[in-house]
Amino acid sequence: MSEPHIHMRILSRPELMAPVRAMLCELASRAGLNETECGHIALAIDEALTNIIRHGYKNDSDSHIWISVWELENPKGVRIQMDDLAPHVELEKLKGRELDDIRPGGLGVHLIHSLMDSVHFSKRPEGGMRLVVEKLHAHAAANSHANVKHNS
Amino acid sequence: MRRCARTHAVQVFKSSTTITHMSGATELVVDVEAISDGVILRPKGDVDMARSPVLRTKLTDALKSKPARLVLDLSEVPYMDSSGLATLIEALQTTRKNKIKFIVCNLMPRVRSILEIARLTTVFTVVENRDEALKA
Repeated sequence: MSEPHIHMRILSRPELMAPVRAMLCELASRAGLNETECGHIALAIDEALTNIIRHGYKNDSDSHIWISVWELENPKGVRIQMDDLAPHVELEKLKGRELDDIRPGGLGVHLIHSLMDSVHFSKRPEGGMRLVVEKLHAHAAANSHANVKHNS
Repeated sequence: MRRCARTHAVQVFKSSTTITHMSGATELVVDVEAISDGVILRPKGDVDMARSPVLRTKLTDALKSKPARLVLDLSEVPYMDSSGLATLIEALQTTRKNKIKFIVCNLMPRVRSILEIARLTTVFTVVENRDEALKA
């Protein structure tokens, strides 16, 4: 994979979520995504950060989160990778809960899957978890899905 | 500046109270307005993990007096994440238990969108504006 266009490390503090999502929104807009798509990216990243801070780091505010961002050219979009050093989580637990079960909490993973075009959780061999998400511009995403359908 | 950011400022306007919670560079203000059969809460700002505790506190306070009607006016909430949704669901559960009418109104597009994705628009009583909320 090529060098990310942006690579940064943040502390696991909820008050940093607003500036991070604003920055990612701006970058996604620059990459050609529309306002709705930028909003989806902001919300998905917000949910991922919330999960890392709350469940991974148990609200410790001095742990580290690494965020890497790539602008995608063909098709247009963005890829965002988030790494942490939190304890490993079994991947089958990262599927989101049934929405018919109306209760507080547990919506984050469902939202990430709903908002992004691709979502991939993995355990980092060096410790911690990795989440890689991609959001494509609507026209590109439609073509991409059509190609998958055509090839299947 | 850093010290100011950690303080809570309380201002009283006629029948409403404004609590300002500063968290980092941004803040969440919640206006509370008494009505004949209950209370209207109007948060102003993004409701995310950093700021949803402020809304939770205001909702809990408002529900303590068991009003007949609780209206949540989201006309000045441009953004909400799942921690905000969780706060709303907690309030919904309390209102159902205590037979309190809980009405949400004036949703901005992004907030309506997250409610739709989470399939919660039919779980809450959602109306267009404050007038409808007072009649619902």
